[in-house]
Amino acid sequence: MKSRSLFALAVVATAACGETGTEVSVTRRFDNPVDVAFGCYGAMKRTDTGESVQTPQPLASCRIRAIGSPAFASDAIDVPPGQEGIANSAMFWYTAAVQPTTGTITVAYTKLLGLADADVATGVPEYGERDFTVDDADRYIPGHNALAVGATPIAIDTDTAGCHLLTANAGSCDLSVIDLLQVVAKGDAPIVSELPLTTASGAPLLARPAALAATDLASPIGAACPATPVGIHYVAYPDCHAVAAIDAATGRAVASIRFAADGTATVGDGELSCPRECGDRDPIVDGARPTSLDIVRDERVGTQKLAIGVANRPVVTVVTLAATGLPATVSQVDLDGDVGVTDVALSAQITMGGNGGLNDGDSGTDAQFVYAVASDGTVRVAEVLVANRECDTQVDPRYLLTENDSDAFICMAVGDPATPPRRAGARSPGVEFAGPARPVAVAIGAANNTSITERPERLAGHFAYVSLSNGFTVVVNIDDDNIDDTRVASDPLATQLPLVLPHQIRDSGFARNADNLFEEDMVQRRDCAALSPSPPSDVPSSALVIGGPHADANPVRIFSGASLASEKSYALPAVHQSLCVGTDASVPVPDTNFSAPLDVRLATYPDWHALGFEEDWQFVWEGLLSNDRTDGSQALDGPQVRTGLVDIGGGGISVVDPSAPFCAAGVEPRDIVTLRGCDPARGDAQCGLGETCFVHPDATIATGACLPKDKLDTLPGLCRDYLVSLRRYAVVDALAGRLTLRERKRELRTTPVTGCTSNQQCQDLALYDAQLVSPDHPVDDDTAAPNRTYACEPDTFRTPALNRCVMTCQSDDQCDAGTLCRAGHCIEGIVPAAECASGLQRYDLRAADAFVAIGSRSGYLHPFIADSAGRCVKDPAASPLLVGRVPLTAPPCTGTGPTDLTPNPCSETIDQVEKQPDYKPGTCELTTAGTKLVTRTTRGIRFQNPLLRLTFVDPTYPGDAMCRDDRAGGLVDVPTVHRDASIQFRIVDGFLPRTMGDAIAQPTNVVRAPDGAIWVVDGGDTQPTNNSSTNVRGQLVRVSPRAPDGAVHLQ
Amino acid sequence: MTVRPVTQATPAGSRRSKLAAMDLVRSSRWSSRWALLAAGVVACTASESEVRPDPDRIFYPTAVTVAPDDSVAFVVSANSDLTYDSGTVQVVDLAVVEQVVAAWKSNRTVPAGCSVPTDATETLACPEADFLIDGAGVRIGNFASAVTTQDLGGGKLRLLVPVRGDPSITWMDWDPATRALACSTGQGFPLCDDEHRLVELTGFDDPPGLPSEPYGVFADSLGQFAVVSHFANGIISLIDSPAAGVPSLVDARSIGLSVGMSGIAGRKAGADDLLYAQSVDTDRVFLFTVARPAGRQPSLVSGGFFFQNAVGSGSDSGGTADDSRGIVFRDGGDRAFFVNRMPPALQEYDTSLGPTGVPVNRVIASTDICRQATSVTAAETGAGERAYVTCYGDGQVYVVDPRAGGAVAATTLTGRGPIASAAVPSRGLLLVANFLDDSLAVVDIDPTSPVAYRVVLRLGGNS
Repeated sequence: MKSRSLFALAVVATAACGETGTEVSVTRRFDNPVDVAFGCYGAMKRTDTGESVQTPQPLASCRIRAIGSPAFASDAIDVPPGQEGIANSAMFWYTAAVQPTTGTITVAYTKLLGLADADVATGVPEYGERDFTVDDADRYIPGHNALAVGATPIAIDTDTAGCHLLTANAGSCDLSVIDLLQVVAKGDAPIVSELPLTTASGAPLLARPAALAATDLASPIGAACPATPVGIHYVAYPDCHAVAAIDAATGRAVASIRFAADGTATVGDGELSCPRECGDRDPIVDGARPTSLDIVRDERVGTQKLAIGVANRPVVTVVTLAATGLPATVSQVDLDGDVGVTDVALSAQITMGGNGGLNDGDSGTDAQFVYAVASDGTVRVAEVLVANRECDTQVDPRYLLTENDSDAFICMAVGDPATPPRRAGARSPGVEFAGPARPVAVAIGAANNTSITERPERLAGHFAYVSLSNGFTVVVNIDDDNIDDTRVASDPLATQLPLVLPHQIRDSGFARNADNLFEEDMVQRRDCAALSPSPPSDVPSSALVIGGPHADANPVRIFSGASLASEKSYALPAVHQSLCVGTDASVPVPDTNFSAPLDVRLATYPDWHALGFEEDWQFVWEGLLSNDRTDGSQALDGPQVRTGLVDIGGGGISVVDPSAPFCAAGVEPRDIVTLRGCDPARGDAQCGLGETCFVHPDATIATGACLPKDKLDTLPGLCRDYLVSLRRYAVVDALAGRLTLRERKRELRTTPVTGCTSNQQCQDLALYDAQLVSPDHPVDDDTAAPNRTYACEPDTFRTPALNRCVMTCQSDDQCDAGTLCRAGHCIEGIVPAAECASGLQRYDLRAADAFVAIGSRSGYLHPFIADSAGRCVKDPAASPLLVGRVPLTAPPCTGTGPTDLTPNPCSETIDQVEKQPDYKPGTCELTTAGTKLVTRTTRGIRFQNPLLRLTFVDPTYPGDAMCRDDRAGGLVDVPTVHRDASIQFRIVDGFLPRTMGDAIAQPTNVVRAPDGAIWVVDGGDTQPTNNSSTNVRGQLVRVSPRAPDGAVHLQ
Repeated sequence: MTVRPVTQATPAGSRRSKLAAMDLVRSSRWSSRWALLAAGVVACTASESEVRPDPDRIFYPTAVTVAPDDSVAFVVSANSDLTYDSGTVQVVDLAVVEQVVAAWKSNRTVPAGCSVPTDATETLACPEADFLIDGAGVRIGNFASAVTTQDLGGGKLRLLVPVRGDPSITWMDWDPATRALACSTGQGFPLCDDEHRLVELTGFDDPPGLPSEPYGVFADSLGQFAVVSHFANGIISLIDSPAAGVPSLVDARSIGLSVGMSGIAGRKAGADDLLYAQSVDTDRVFLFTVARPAGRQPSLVSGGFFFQNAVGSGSDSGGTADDSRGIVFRDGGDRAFFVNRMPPALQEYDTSLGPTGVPVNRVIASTDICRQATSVTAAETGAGERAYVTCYGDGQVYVVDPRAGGAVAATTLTGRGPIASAAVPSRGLLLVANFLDDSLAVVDIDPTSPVAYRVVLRLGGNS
């Protein structure tokens, strides 16, 4: 045996793969909790003896007193019957979090707050973090100790008497019973006891539980605690394909809900035949796996129902429970698609509609919903009271503008022909969440924080709270009782359909109905210069979103001075402008702007839900198909400059990328591929090993190419023409992994969009092209004709049906820099010898003859998919809104309504309001005013995508006759755009989901507390590398629906 | 007996690659470590036989992998305290393991030399020698970090081992007929020769050396290549490994960031295999493919990256998951498990091809796990798939059931410093390399076993 020194051992502690720290031994208050349950403890008058005792009691005893609970709201001084005289200060809420990896629960408690505790001056009190105490389960061991309860407890709930907590233990296939009285007393009496489970006949039930839910049998307040837990507890057994109804007093299954292989549920007896999964074990048979439960007792209508989610079947199951808590009837709703359900929440019976606060029981249509976290990353909604069907939460609001019956919105049936189309790109009928986060858990609760004006933090009605994997808990409106339930024509901003429809993520925006009206000297005025709303006085300073969506400034046109004089920017297409009639002045306003006429602004932003909180949009002529930031901080459309192989043969050239990105990138035939080579300013950094960035001495463009260092003696000569060219090619065929390219001819950018008619026309337009660079008025312009020649002829690889002005030549010097003369035409890149491009090549992808629309959040939207052969084709099922290009010509529009979506883009005739130069007659000298307001009829290209509806006016320009911008040049269909010319704007005050509390590490559950508060269970490790200070592995976060901005963190 | 100064299998002089030498200078951590160790070497000498690794011992195991037919396991010992002159790759006979485990589980048979620890009565502790195939192992350099197998056909395998101390990628072939690894013409317990140590790129007059800190490795048997991640400098290396030929290092490509790369795996074996490479310093997952241009050596092609930003971090901006430590694909590449330390999480991704032909790369499940996770593997043994995460700091393996959104199904103490694992699905076993106690823990992952997810056998161990 060889000796090993302690010194060496110390060395190896850090030698293993970056292990740089060791765990400090600590006792944690929380350790990866996954579920939470509640208890009510305090003074109670025994109804049998009349004595006052300190005891656990039914949750209703605290709930009735508690602020925030619906019961409290209806009777502000409520105290349980027979319990009069007991102060709130004598009552405590207990909260117990179950922690499977350590087999423990951690208990916290706080004094109950009710209205009697309210400070008159400050109003209703709310809990603070100091109000809660995290209990130490063993005072004799230093630190805060959790209470050991069993092996891998995965769920916890409270029995109906309120005296016992029960955990379902996946590690031992049983329940643990926690005596709440002993938790508080900390005496010598046992706190935790094992409750083995059996079938109805007494056989051991040793299946592994996945969920637990307790019935509420309305236990009387004032009764002594029973020795054993009472009531029916439902336990989900996924590998037994059943949910058992367990009598908590005996541990015996007294009934069950059994799932067939297809997910069909039936009510059965308690004689379950389950595989043993603890101790000796049996093989598991595949089948439907129920894994989530929720029970809601609705005192208003006297029902109690159980919802069940099956993890691997597209169905939600609702069981109506009898007064005994046993299952009575079962119903199911099929969900769309091949999904499973990983969590469920059941609502109370809701009276839909109303805008004056919680209105259950008032006139209106009642409904009840199951919200189900589905495996496709959405939350599905099913109406289970009347319709028993899945609801489509993704109906495009464009189709609902004229619907005035709010009942039609309660549950728009999935698959019903009467249900309008979904939003473009919707994955399913379910509620979708922005970004890559997936929903983890859902809870539903009611709140009654009435507000006359809609405010995002004022919750009145019924809401779902969805915890997402990225740490946020998002609020979903089920029935917002502070706001109208249909679009109100007189107040369309405040009642935008995405804000009022059921089953929509709640909006965070304040003062959504803000307009550019203001009051001055008792007179209402309109400020057409306003770019954003003035925040109303009641909007908190912390508000991130105020008013409706709008551009934060006028759209800007960006262009190259080498292609267009700055004095002639008017010749470029522009965003359509409307007239804002202001109090002081009437001015043209772009349709994107805050001060655009209301109907215009509403039409520009047809679905506020689709808009991000803030997004930059750019429309770039022949732009790149990706705007991902070059610093790598964004990954929407792939790199702007990619890397692939070039395959040369058969007279053609192809770009091959084994990662098959081309259909995803949205490449279309005629698009432009540029082989980028390398930037000599960066040395060899962009080249592979053994290569160097070589710039040919004959090159007139500053682009190098990566060539093997050992072939620099031969390749520069062999590849000369390739190396000195722009290396720009036209796509003729697009497969997911291969683009077939052809040489691209140099063309005149002012070629009419409807095609040229003669060589002479091309030569004339070449002069016009040159004149566009001159700042002079035409009358003063002495620009010489360019020394380039053009022929009007077809271009097979660009616009086969139209003649184009193609640059012609007899030698290279008759072509532009970087282009070469081949067969009488100037071309932008040649097919080289294979050796010239044998290594990896950097390349980019650009659209041809169109503006590329790219949003900083949306990316480049397009309808292309790969067919079975890998060819990039338009998805026949794609929404017509999935469009990312704006050409200069388009088919005529077929209507003006919000649902007239095809063709898209389309061409329309439209009135454009603008300021034009006001010249003195017969001169190009401006008048004193300088400009004049005109309305002219012009041609526009209407473009619609899921977020925007815009019209770009003047895709072509007629030219000027005498003075700049006199538009009297008489040219027809002549464009002025050039590569990389763009129109850009930023949309602000878009949609921002309303969240509860702040972001946490990793939510594992969200639970509705008896007092209406929402508890988010954070199983995550917030400080995984911090071993010295706070050592937190999980926490509980309590958020009150009355104050969703604040949160109490128990750590 | 002739006494000669110790010769370390990991060369320190001119045989080291140039890049590696530079990186050692840059790395103060490694510099100090080497200085300390060098001092120890100078202070005393030992005979070659005294410092030759014991062929019957596992010492500082850092990696383990299993043959595709579940017949044998290959265990890499890193020699991390430099007690010996080299690390090793040894071969465990899994039939013997299964036989002993079965007898232990059915009637608690304790073979001669084995014992039952008083603090773990369901575990049988045995000397590893009884399970190692005699004469099958080989010696390699120090600080090996991983191992992968390339299927050569006919039961033959090629093992590729990143060795951080050289640095090299050391390769050896396994022949089931001889039941021995081969990487040298030497006899006995041979040290892999220079021909089996890839230390520089081929095809260059002045060949660049293998970048420093080779860490993770993945071999594509169909594509006949292997890729290596480097724990420094954001580099991925490519090895052309023809089944009928000799492997060669042909490309080393930067991801563009100077970050440490960690887990690496291929989505679906074959010519168009899409490789996923993780980092310990960023939340991005980098994508690569391997191109084979005509007339030139194969090369890596960057396919962009995506963010792991679906899980929470506790920050106001929501999710960012970095310090990634492992990746394993399932379902023919349609799903993958990623393991992260910041925050500690196991994420399951949908990596199936979407309608556009590129992977969806969307998270479908996530589970909070232990701190200091070091690896992940997955297996289906009859009750649904489970992912197994080794937890270095806690000495545990977390068993995660990814269904229904993901949940920890069990945790089991395996030993000190579990650092890597490999499943033996047909035998219902999981092998866990415990770095700090020189042992290989055998975990029962048969869901029908009364001791499912418990350590039933421990091979070796220094405590």
